[in-house]
Amino acid sequence: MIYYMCKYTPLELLAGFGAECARLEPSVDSFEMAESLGHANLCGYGKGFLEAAMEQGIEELVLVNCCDVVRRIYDILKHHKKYRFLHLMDLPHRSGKAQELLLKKELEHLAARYQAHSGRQFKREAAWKAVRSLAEQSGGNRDRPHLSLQGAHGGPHLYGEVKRHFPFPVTDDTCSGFRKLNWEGGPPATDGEFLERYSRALLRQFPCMRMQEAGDRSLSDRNVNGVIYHTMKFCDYYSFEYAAKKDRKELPLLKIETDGTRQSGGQLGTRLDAFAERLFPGASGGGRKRPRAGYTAGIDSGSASTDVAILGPDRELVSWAVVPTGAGAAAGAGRALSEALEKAGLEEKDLDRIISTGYGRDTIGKSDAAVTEITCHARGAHYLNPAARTVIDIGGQDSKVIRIDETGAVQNFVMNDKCAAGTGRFLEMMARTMELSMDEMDALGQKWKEEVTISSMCTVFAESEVVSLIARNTAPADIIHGLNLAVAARTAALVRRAGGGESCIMTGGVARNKGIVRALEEKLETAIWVSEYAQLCGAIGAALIAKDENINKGEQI
Amino acid sequence: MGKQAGRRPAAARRLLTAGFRAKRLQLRHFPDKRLSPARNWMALQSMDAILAPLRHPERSALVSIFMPCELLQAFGFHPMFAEAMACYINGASAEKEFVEYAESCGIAETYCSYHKILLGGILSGVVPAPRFVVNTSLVCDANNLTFRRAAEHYGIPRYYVDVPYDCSEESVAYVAEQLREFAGFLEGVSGERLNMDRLKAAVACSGRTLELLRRSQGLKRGRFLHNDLTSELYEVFGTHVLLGTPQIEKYAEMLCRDLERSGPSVGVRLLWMHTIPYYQEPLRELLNFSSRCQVISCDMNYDAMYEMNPEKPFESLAGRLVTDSFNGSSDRRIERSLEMCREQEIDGVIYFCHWGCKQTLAAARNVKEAMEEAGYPVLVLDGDGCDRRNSSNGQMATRVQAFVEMLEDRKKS
Repeated sequence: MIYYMCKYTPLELLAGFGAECARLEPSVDSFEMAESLGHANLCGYGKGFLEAAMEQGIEELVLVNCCDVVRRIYDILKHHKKYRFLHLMDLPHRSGKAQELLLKKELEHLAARYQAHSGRQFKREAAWKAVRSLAEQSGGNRDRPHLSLQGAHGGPHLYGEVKRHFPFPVTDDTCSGFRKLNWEGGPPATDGEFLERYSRALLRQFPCMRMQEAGDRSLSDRNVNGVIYHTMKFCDYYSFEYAAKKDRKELPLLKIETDGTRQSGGQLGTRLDAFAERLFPGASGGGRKRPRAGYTAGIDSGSASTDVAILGPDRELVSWAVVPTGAGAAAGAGRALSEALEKAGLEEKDLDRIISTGYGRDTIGKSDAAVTEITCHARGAHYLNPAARTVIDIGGQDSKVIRIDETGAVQNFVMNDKCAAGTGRFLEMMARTMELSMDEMDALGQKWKEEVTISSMCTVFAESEVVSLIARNTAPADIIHGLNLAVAARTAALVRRAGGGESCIMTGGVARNKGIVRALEEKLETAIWVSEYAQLCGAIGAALIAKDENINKGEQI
Repeated sequence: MGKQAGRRPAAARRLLTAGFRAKRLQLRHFPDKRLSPARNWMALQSMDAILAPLRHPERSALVSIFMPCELLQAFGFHPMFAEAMACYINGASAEKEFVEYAESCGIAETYCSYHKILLGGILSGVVPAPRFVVNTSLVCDANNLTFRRAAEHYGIPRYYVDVPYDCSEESVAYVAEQLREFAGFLEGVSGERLNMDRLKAAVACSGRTLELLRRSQGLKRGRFLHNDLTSELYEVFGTHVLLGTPQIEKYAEMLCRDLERSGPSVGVRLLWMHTIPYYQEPLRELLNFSSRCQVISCDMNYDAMYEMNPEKPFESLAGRLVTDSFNGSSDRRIERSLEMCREQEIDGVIYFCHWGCKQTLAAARNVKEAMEEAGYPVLVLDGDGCDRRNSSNGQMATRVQAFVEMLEDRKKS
């Protein structure tokens, strides 16, 4: 079995030798070996591939010189494992006559090496059959309206995850997907002719981002009604295309970022669900109306705290509670709900509906439905200040910016990715380093005198910077101010990425931190409105959604 | 200045240019007395190379660092390139705003900082639009992205030189053909005919300069010349986009002379592999003008010692590209570095993993194993060549100091 990675691998040529080929799909939980043989700061796919390629049973590999990481993976494998057959095929960055000729020579070289290795002869008929069989594969879901998964390699795991969240077809158009040869004319008469036309067909595929004449890679497929764009940390190519696509605003677009491991499903699920809600509002709604007593509750189950808001018949906030989430989301939700009900003198049966949101939203037994915190924060922010158009939410575990319209509907949103920098957790860790409580840190930070720059955005580096500042006797107030500036810079970049900046409202627990708000106001050069109920924003949004007519008990949105 | 980048790009550009001009005056009239004449001359040439495209963007081209620029010289175009632009912006302590601007435009945080700073400058409007863009596929993926994006952003033409992996005659012919096509592109852009005599003269000048530089590498054996990290980095500009100019030939001559006059070797001798974070305080303290320990050479300055034939200018330029030790397998870079270690009596190697440079990062283990097997200890050092945010002074100081202590112990025994 020959394993491969890139869609430019000449599978049909290898089929001419009767070789069986399979894409090596890494499914690893750790990159220990890859990081020791290579480096930690490589893309997750590359590291995963390296791990998988070092495993026993992988004895024949054909790689393509398609990016820096693969070129070096070849170097690493060559030096660290004995393969029965290991080959790197060069691939031109341009297409044209000279490039086809160059690729043909590469194909001849591979064929000669494989023949010597396997002792088998090349059979043109078998290769041609493979070309035909690829051409005859149906377009699959491309013939009907579908979502397109694009960007960096996602593999079956990510593709499956995306399909699971959308009730309609999804096509895999990532860097390794959509392999279709552009073969012109009928069967080749000689081996030489096969190689000549095959090299042209390979080069004229739907180009990946490395191809210089890729031009506009937008699929000319009218059936695409939304794009999920996958980027991967340390993969250069696809963040570039995402940036361009984002600016063109042609189709609804959702960016997801992974590191190539089996991603923490929670964060990915939230985004996919929110995107589905945006693409198909009420897709699962409609139907029976329930008698109303007038009270609804929203539960926002976050990583640090669980917040509950109860709204009365006229959408007025009648009660709320904020409790630490603790070990179990369900228990935390129960405690918060009981506390809020008790404060309002209500019982659970008085509530028409309960909607949950936040990381723990799917695990709370008490709720009638779950809605993502993106949608809830948008609704809650609109409730708190109808003029708000940009919602900045810095939570314990992530931060996000949501652009909303005059009705509180989501227009666009971005979230930070798998990194503590610029979140509540970052501040907590820094407070711990400085042996202060969060409130003490906020109060002290407002007394700063000299500007200190904390240049590292990485939590670990920042911590060591803070330690060395303490060692140099820098005033704690100045250090805190420096940290506030660092968080503000990070958040401001997020605001710009979302295309926001006007009529800002800040929600989430960190909104209470005046130093951060002030630093962010300076960075964005605009006033930021903070409600006294900032922390309840998500819960209020959920309680508002609970009032929507089209949501039925027991339903998952 | 950095704070103006996004809002008032023209003002930021004026400030930047004014700052660079002031620095030029300083270099010209108050050269660093600790440096040898050649090193001071090179500092001035680098400054001029940065200023020219800012002053005359209409006679400039945005190029990648491995692009042979003799053809540009034949047409009188100035090269502008990522690495120098980023280093000078870093020198003005303004890189943070440029990086943040690029990131707010969607450029990944994990992207090479040199390219990110250049893109920040381009997208914010601080870097003026050159006449055209030309780049090679060497030596990293960023070249396939930054220059494409820049050309699209400015709406200017671009030429791309694809360099194959293999070191073969076919590869040389393939690249030479592209360079001929590029000459036609230049004729179209400039409206002038290619003057073959000028091209041949530039290629001949490159040949002589490379010969001198090769000699200078050999002269380093057993000698101690006062040196700093910045000078070694300037030489990277000289051995790449500025190669072929009389100024760099003069530099190479001066360098040989300086070396011939220098004293016997003292202290620990280091080979630096990859780009140099010249601004990093602990490194400057430890390695600049130090008789305890210094960087003797950087492998980026010995990557393309190709014999140039002025009668075959296109093949010569193509051959230099294809045989560059940074092209293809990392084994080629290892072999060239080992040659340097042997020739220059190197005690240890610092392999610098610049943030975002995947092709360097992923070769770290292979380099370490191969060089140590040959008897040259290697420190794999993570950091960033031009963005202060991506490394910590404290961590860097500990690692490099410990490595030097280790090498000192080895030398004693």
